[in-house]
Amino acid sequence: MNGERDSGSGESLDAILDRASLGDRGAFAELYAKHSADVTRLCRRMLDSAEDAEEARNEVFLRAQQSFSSYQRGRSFRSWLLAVAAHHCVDRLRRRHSERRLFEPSEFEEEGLPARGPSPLGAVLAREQTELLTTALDAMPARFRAVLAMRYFAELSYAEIADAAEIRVEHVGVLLFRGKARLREALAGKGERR
Amino acid sequence: MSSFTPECVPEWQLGAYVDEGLEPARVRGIETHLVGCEDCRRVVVALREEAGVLAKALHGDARPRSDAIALEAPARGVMTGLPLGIAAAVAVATAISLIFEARMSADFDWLRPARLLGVSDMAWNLVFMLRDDAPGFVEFAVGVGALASVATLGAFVAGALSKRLTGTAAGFLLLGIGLSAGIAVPSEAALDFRNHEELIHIRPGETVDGVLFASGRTVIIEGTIDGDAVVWAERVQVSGVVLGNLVTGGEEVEITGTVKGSLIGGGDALRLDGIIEGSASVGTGSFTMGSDAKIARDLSVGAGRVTLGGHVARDANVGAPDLQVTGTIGRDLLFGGESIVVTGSVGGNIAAHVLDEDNVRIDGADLGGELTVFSDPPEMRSRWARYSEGPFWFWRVVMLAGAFAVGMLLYWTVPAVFRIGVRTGGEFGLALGIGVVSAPVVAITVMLLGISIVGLPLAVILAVLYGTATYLAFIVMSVLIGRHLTRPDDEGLREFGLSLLVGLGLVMVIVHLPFVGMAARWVLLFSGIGLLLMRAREAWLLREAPRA
Repeated sequence: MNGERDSGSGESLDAILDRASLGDRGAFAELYAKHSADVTRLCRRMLDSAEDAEEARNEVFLRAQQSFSSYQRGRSFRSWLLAVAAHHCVDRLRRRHSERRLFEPSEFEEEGLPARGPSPLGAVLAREQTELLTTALDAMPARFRAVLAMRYFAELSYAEIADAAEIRVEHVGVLLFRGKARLREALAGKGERR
Repeated sequence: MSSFTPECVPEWQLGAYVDEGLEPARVRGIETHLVGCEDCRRVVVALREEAGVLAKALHGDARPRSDAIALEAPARGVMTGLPLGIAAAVAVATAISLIFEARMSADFDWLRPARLLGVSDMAWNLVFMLRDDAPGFVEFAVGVGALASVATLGAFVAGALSKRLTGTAAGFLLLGIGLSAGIAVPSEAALDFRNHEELIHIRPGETVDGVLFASGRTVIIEGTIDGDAVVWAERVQVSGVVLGNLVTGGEEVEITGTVKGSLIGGGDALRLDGIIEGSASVGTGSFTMGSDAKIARDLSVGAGRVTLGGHVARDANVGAPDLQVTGTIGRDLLFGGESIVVTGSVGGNIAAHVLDEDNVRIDGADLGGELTVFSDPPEMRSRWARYSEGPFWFWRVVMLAGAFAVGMLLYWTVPAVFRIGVRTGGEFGLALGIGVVSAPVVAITVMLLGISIVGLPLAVILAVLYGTATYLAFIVMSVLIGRHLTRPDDEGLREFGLSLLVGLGLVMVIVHLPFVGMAARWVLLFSGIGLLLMRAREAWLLREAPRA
């Protein structure tokens, strides 16, 4: 869905991908250097631990290298890589929570959802509010943090998020809504409303 | 919000609409509604703005909260699993160590060969069983050993060269092929492999050029080996001449011939009636030297029962429960075990380490030097007494400083070693389990590798690596504990040093606590080894991925 966006410079990326598809490890090293920061950040957001994120980053690249054949050209490499990372982080979160149902079914229910949540966060936040927001994000339960990061950082499609989290596509929207509502409440509680 | 009507689209759906997460049919429905609904349009705009805000916040660098994991995420894992895991491990280890401490004497020595004999017997039996029931096993082991050593060497050299020179896959390939050929061709000519035959018989007058590698049910050497002989069989008889060294092992080994080099013997029972012109190193269930036997240099033996009837020209070092000397020893005799009887002659001194002085009998012996008996009455008292001794504390400090220096050096050079962590009880249990399992696995692997001449260096390397790991295990666990206590917020050398020192100090105290100390030692050792192995595996898997 968010297919053709590419973060890097086009022509050189294509050449690198060509080499990578031939199994060139040097090409992988370049891809790694290019996207390492993004992958780390996504892992950091989803796992909320710098140490874990670094470990996860390495594992993600290994996983990506192993499953490179599943990458379809024409699709943004960054978004494919971040989807791999999201999968990996969800796995890690599952392991950490030592239970399969990380994304609890009760959170999916559409009944009882308010038609409107608290006012959405405004386009411009004051500096201290941005910090508050980051802190609030980190303090969220893992399932919301993970889904928000997958959507708004990794820019994964709902289908990709559903695939990574092993939930139904319709539930992604519900989880995101609940997550955002919590964030808004957290910010409204601490700072002034936008 | 004022114009909100029951027909309005709920916000979560508008969010999905903004995020392009809806089916086309629903999208059309929403778009139709949006045309006529200002409230929903406003919400859509606000949601778009919010998406930008969230993306910005998520891109920003928040300061990592090290306590976040403990506070929120693994409530079930860490809060219950870890303490439970540790408690269970400590309980089991305490029980085991209590039994050991209660039963053993003050100078209990773990490495006394007699204690290990049961293990080695099992290993030998396993090897023979595998060879009989899984034909081709020994060849397979040799083949794997050879391949592994060639590959390791090839990869090492190629890796070292390619960094500077080519860096291409072709270089690897060529070097690999070249090395394989270089090793395979001459070895084909120089090594005489004779494997898996019922009987391998080198008849009188027959000469084998180069190294003989023989393994079968029975190996008889009556001819001449013009090189080293590596012989592995259930029954080995050497009545001919080996011009090089003889490396042999089996259930029953008999040497009546002459070995111009040295003897390295293993297995169940070894009887020497011939002549060894070099030294002899023997580790067997029993070792018997007949009255005509002669060893021109030193003898080192660790065995269940040792009888020395012949002549050892220089020193004899014996570790065995029982030793009988009826022959002659040119120089000193060093003994460690339970009982020793000397009726022959010893040119130099006898030093006997025994538990009970009464078990040293040298009546009728011809002793050139002096007899010194070292015996410690097996009292528990001495285990406690050490705490009041100065040297004890001195050595603790020395060891602590040593471990600290090693840890700092390691962190300075290979910080990746310490990229470890235990987050859940399960992970801790896994590390502990891996550590416990690794001990016998490594021991057996070393033995199996050691069978073949190509595998021998690998076996030594593996043993050294594992030995290093046992030392590093404590350092690694100290760092883990230290980090937990000091909660460093940076990864500098200073912060690391502090964590290391705190951890080492605590570990040093813990392992010297009475009773529990030994349990803690085992837990630390095995979980440390397990973590190191897990880390090594991870590093191996990630070996191609460069650092960011």
